[in-house]
Amino acid sequence: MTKRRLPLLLAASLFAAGAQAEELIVSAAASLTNAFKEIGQGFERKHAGDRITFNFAASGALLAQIEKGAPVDVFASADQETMDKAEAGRHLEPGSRRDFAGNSLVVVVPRDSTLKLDGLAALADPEVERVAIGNPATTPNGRYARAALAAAGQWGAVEPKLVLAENVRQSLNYVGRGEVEAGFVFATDAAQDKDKVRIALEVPTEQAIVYPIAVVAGSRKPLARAFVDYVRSAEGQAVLKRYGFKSPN
Amino acid sequence: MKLSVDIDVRLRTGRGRRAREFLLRAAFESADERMVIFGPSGSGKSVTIQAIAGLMRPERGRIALGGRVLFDSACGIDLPARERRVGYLFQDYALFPHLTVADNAGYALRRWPWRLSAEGRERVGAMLELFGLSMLADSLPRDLSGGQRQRVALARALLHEPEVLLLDEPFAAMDLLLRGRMRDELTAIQERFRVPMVVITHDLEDVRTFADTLVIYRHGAVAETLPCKAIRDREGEAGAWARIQNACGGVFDAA
Amino acid sequence: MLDAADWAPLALTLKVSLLATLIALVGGVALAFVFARVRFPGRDTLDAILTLPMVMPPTVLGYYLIVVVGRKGWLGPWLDDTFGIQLMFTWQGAVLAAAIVAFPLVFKSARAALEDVEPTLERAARTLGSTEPAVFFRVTLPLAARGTLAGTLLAFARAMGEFGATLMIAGNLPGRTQTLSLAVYDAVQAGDEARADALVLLISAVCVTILVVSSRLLAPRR
Repeated sequence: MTKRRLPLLLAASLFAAGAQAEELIVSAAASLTNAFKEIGQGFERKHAGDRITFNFAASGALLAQIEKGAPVDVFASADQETMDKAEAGRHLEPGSRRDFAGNSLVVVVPRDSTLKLDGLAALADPEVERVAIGNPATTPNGRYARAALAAAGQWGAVEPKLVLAENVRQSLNYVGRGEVEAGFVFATDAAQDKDKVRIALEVPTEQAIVYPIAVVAGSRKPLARAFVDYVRSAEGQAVLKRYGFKSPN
Repeated sequence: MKLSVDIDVRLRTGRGRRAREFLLRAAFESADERMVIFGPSGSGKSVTIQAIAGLMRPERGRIALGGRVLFDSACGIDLPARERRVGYLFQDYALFPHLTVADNAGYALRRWPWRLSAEGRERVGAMLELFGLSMLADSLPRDLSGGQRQRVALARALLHEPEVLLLDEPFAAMDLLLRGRMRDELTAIQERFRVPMVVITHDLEDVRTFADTLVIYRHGAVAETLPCKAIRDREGEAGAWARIQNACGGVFDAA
Repeated sequence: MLDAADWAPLALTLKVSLLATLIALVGGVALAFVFARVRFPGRDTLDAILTLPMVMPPTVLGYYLIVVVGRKGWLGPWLDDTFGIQLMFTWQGAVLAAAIVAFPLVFKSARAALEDVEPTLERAARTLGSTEPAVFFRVTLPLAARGTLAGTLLAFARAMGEFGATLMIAGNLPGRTQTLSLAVYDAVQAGDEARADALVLLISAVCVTILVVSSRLLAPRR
C-alpha cells in the first residue's frame, strides 16, 4: 500500500509547494547587478520558498522588452527618463513608482594608465584615442555622458572617439581590458572593478542621477510590491550604500 | 626514331594489409614506327607508357626517344611531362568537358596568355577538317559519340606535334564494326603524319594489322620482342601471322 | 522612412562582406587545393580546425578574436606597433570576423569540387605541354568553379549576416562599424520600429537578389 501511495504523496507535496511559492522576475539596470543580487538573496531569506529571477541590461533595452510584453514584474531603471517613457506607455502599475537610490557619473581609466585628466576637455587630447560610453540611444549612462560632454562643449571633439557599449558594465569592461583609454561609468561600477580601473575624473551632471523602481502593469503578484518595499527598506538601503549608491534625495 | 626503354617500376596499391606490390621490369627498343605492346590486364602495359610520358616515375632505368634522354635515374634526369613532346591517348580520351571540340583540339597551341594566334586557328581548322569534325567544332564532348571523342583526342594530341604517340587500348570500348573502321583510320593517320605510335592492346587483331614491332608482356616483364615487320618482309603475311599467334598464344594461358 | 544615415549601414555591410568574401575565396581555394592534392600527417585534424568557425557560436569566436587581436591580445600590440593596424572597433575588424566565418564555407565546397576533378584530365593537360599553374587555371579551377561558386555565395550571405563576432570585435559604432545586422539590432533595442522595419526590408531585398542571381548563375547550362 505504501508503495503506491508514496509517488502520489510526492506529487501532491510538490504541487502544494508550487502553489505557495512565487517567482518574481525583476528587470534592473546593469549598474545594479551586484547590489541587487545581494538584495535578492536577503529578500529570498525573508520570503522562504519564493524565488527572484534577475534580468540585468541597459535600461532602454529592458524597457523595449517590457513594451514587447516580456513577463516582468518589477522594473528598476538608472534614470528617470526611461521610467517616464514606461509610465507614458502605461506599462507601470499606477502609484507603484518610487525613487530608491542615487549615483554619480565618473570617468575611469585603466589601473596602470598614466593619463591625467583634469577636466572633460582633456578627453579631446590626442593621447586619448578611444572613449567608451554606453549607447546613448539605449543607456542612461550614455545619455548622462553625452549631456555632460555637450554642456562642457566637448561633444564635437570627443564624439569621433566614442566606442558605444551595450550597457554601462560593458563600458567598464572595455576600460578594464585596456581596449579604450577612458570610459564613462557610474561611481558604483568603478568601485566594482577596483583592481582593473581607477577613477580619473568625477563628472558633475545637470540633473542628479536618481534611480526609480516600479511594479510593471499586469503583474498581479503582491510579492512585487513587497520587493519594491524591501529595496527601500533599511536593509535594502544598507546593501545599496555598501555598493556605493547614494540615497535618492 | 628510336624509342628505347629500360625501366624498373615498383607500384604499391591498396593500404595496410591489402597492400599489393607490383614489380615491372621492362626493356625493349625499336626504331619502327608502329609498336604494339601486348599482354593481359595488369601486366604493366599502361604503367610502361605512363612512364614514357612522364606521368609516372620508375624506380630506376632509362628512357630515350630519338636522340633525347627523357629519363635516366643514374644521371638524375627526369624531364617533366610537358617537355617530353609525347602525345597520349587515354583510354577514356580525357577530353576537357568544359571546352568545345575546337578548344580541346587546340589546347596545346595556347601558351600564356592562352590566346590562339591566327596561324593556330588555321591549324586547328585544318586538323578538324581532316578528322571530319568541322561541323562539331563548337560542340562539347558530352554531345559526342565514342568514335567522335577519340578523333578529337587524337587531333588534340597531334596538334601538339609529338615525337611519339602513345595509345592506351584505343579500341577497347568499341564494338567490332567501329573497331575495324578506327583501326584503318589510325593506320591512315600514322602514315600521313609519320609519327611513331605505341599502341597498347590485348586484341590480336590490333597486333596483326598494326604492329611493326611487337612487345609481349607477361607477369610484369617483357617476355618477348617480335620484329614483325622484318618477319613479314621475310616470310610474308601468313608466316608473320603464324609467328604472332604462336608468341601471343601462350600469354593468356599461363596466367 | 529611410534617410541618408540609414544607407550607411548598407554601404558598410557591402564593403565589409565583399572584402571578407574575397579574402575567404582566395584563402579557401588555395588551402582547398593543398588539402585536395597533398597528403600530409594531421590533414584531417587540420581540416576540422579550419572548419570550426562554421560550427562555433559566433560569440565564442568573437571572444577568441579579442584574445588574439585586442589591444592587450597576443597579436594586437604587434600589429599596431609594426603596421599601425588596429582591428578592435574598426571596420577592418569587422572584415576579419566576417572572413573567418565565411572561410569554411568556401574551403569545404572548394575542396569537394577540386577532389571531384578527374586526375586524368590534369595528366592529359601535362602531356599537352601545360605547366602546373596552367593545369590549375586552365583545367582544374574551371572544372571546380561551379561547386566553389556555390560555396562562395553562401559565404557572402554568411558574411553579410555576421553579427555576434562582429559586435564583439568591431563594436556597434554608427557610421563606422555598424553593419546592417547591427543596425537592426540597435533599432529594435531603441524601440525605433519604423527604422527597424525599413532596414529589415532592405536586407531582405538584398538577400532575395543574391539568391536570384546565384540560382541564375548556377543553373545547369542548356
